[in-house]
Amino acid sequence: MNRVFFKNLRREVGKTLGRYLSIFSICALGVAFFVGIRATSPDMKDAGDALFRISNLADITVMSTSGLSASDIAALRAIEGIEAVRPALFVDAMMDSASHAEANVRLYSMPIKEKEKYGSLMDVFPRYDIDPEPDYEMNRLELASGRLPVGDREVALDAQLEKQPGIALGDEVTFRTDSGTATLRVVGFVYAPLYIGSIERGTSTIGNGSCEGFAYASGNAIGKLGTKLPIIGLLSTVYTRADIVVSGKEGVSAFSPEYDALVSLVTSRIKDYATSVTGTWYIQTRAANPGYEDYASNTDRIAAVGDVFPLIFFIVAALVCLTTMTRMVEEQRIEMGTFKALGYGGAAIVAKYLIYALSACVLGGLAGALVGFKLFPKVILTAYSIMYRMPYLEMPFRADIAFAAILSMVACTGAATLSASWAALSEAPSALMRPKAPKAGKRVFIERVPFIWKKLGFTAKVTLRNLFRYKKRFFMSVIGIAGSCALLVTGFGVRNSIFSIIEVQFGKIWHMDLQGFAYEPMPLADFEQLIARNEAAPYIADTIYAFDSICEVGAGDAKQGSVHVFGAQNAEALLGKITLSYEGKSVELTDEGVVVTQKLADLLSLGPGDTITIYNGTKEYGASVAGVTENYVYNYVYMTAAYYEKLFGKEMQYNEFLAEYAPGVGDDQADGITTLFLADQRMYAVNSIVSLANMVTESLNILDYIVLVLIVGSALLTFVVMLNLTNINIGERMREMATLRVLGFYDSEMYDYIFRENNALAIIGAAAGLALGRYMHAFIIRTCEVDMVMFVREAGKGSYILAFFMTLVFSLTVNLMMRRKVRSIDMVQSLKSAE
Amino acid sequence: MAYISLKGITKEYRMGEITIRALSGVDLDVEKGELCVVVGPSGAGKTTLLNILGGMDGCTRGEIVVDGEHIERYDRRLLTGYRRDTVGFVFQFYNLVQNLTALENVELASQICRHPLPAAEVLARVGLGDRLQNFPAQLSGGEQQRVAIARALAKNPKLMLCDEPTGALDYQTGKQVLKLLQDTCRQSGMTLIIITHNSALAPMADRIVYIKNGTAEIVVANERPVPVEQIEW
Repeated sequence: MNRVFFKNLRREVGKTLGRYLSIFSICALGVAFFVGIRATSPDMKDAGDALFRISNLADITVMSTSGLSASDIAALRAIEGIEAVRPALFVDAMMDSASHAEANVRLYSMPIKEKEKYGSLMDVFPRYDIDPEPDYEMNRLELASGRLPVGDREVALDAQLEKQPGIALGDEVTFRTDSGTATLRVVGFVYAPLYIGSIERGTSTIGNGSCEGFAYASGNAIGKLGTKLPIIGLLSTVYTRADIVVSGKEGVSAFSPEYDALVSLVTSRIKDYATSVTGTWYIQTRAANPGYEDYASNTDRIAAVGDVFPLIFFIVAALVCLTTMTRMVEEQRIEMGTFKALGYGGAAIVAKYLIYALSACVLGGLAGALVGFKLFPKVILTAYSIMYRMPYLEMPFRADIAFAAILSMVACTGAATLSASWAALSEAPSALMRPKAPKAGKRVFIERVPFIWKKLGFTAKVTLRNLFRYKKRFFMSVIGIAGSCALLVTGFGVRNSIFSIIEVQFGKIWHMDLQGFAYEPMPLADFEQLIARNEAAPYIADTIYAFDSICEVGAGDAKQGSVHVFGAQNAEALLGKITLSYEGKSVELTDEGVVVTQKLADLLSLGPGDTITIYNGTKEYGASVAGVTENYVYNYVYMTAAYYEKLFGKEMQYNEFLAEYAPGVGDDQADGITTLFLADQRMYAVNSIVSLANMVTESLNILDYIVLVLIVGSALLTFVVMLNLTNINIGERMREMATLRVLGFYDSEMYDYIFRENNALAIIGAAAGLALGRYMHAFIIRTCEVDMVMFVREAGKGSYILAFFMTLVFSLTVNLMMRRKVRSIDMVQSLKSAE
Repeated sequence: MAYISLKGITKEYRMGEITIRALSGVDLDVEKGELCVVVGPSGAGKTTLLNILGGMDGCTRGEIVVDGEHIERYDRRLLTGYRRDTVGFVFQFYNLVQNLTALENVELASQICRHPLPAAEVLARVGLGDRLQNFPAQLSGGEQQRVAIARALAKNPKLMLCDEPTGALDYQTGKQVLKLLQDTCRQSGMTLIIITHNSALAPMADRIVYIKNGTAEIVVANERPVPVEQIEW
């Protein structure tokens, strides 16, 4: 390869800049999508890890029904694998401000540093020695405004509460519980790592069961409010929780299995100790923090999308490169032949095309990577940052992902170019220098059906023959268009599958307005009485009672956590509130087995007749699966009370009720009903189904942004592919069109002649794309699901119609754009050469 | 007034600082129904002249009057109409549409004309009556050229322009094609202009134009044109 070679190559690029740019841009698009979407999940995980690390978020929280004594704390500290233990108090209280804005708030105790300095602000007899290690910071708060409390009369509020009217820095607020009140001054608004969500605050044990914000104050301040503990020792301090930081976390991501293993090791050691104390200990990991699990699942969802979706872009991009380079090689036959005749070897000749294509590919890939790493995570995570705090979000250039993407693109482009040029090289130089014999015209199969053929107009005949004459071009165009259209179908279909969940789950499957939970299961008669005697009783109707407990289940080696084991009085009661059906047919619940929700059955590969194992504490129970039911939110194992007894060997107790509103009662009264129910100490929470539906809708709304990004990308790809193919198509037929111009075809007649074919290709390609899209959609849906949720399996009619319509519109737009090229065909030049 | 009158036709190509003159002031008159042969060496400007006359290219300066119409004033649309209804063009390399049969290639032209001749008839006239359903790839060079001629004839043009019509054909076939052209010209009163670099063909014409260096150096009227079959070269 000498100087002239590179000169030739440089000039080539300049002369055919359009073609060069077309390869450049398609590679840029493919790589941008690939790296952008794949980088989003790690970016989000890294942001989370940074937040947890910098704030030193606790890994484990221990709570006890009978309180944690100082000796408990000391014992915890002694457990192997624990770096630090912070004992603390927490309580749910109603917060009143001067302007009578009321909020349901969870108060946490925090260490007050430099007690001596602020001695005057502390009570005379401090009852809670809460800060044994004031210099070790755990669950660090971040100030939004103001400062942290330094005394017993001060409080820092959830920054979210500042949005509420009537609460400002310097205000005095009063906290109220059953056991006491405390008036504190708001000195600051803060962010807490315990609450990674911007909005989600978890459940509350008071009020309507929904926590609206958190607050941090000194232990003494909280002590005034009392706790739900039966015993508050005067002489011995008793804590309501211990926050624990585990050791050995260096370099371990919170979202990795190594972290889970580390934590579960320590958890099991704590559990062992817990067997030796009185009272029940509740041991929670970060999963119990409001919004934490969601955050983690979202990173998984994005990762799943990132694994599959960009591949399609790659394939289409590779196809476009193939068509473009094939065209280029065909155009340069004579030059190739000349070089060969001059004595250049095959490798040298092919090298020109390889370097041409690969340079465009690499440059385009780099450009795409630079844009992709910034653009996609930015768009997607900006949407997510509405829901989550990500103060340490970075969107770095990830060399490993970029390398993988560009390498793959180079491989595809290289392979395409080689295959295009090698075939030409196998011909003898003289053959190359002769013009290629035009492909012989052939009868199209439709011609053999004279019935149809005779009726077709002249242009229609020409169009049909042209379509089927060049099979290679036909298939490449159809595949390119079909791939892009399929992407559109998938994008719209995924959107439909996600959002239909709400309609189907809350309209078709669940027929209830309220669900309520008691703390502890109790005999049916007791529970019925509890409900009946409550002041809210007249507001509900058609109540059924059930047992609901979250367990781990499994089959074979597979295990699945967070599954609801749900038992109803009898099948009738359950069916009154929950529709059991599968593929359109209703599913029966008998006393002989359980009905498992569809997603769970998929995850564990279960069908009717199999056995599902339910883990409860240390014991295992094998239940017989009688049926599978369609369900989209959460996973359930349904059974009757009779089967419960058979399975677990004891009578079923009840802790949940499902009810509908009494006639005339509406959702606006839900809050009131909830408050009335929660007045009974035995009730834990009451939720209206509408609020649950809203919550699910909101968490799904975020996915909307991602899907939108995908749809826009697919649309772009479709457009670029069509532009490219049409360009090539016209380029190949310059001579033919010049002849038509000479014959005296007006512009509009020229457009008809050429673009009719494009439109036909678009329709055929779009139709194929619809079929392909159906499979792609089904595949993506299955891949991107999270365990908790099942997406609706159908893409929806609208998706197909929209995708088809958009493809056609793009085709017409491209034709409009290409008109200029057709208009400007130089008759004289095009008809000059022998080729 | 001559049927076709070219006055001072100049064609210049400007590429940056360089100006290339393909034609430098060609003056030429052709009468209706004449068979005119344009001869000259390669690069003399014959094809350029024909392209301009056929409405495929414009001239930098000059007048083109065809049957009283000033073609040099025509805009894009009028030129298309001119090519459509007035001119029939035959190329050296046939330029048939590969995907259409012989009949369809002719129909392609006849269907856009105002007063076309029936396609099958014209093909029969050029001797291809039994080859209507063949594709160009199934026809020999001579047959393809005859299809091209049929295509031009079917338009029933006033003016027929042929650029080296026998350039790609062998001696015998070329002669046959020229005979066809000559006979058609005589029979239908169509004005026919043929470009060739073979000056031996001059005797067949009513008017012979020698083009050299972008001008019509000599224009000779031939009193007694000779039938092609009698010319040997």
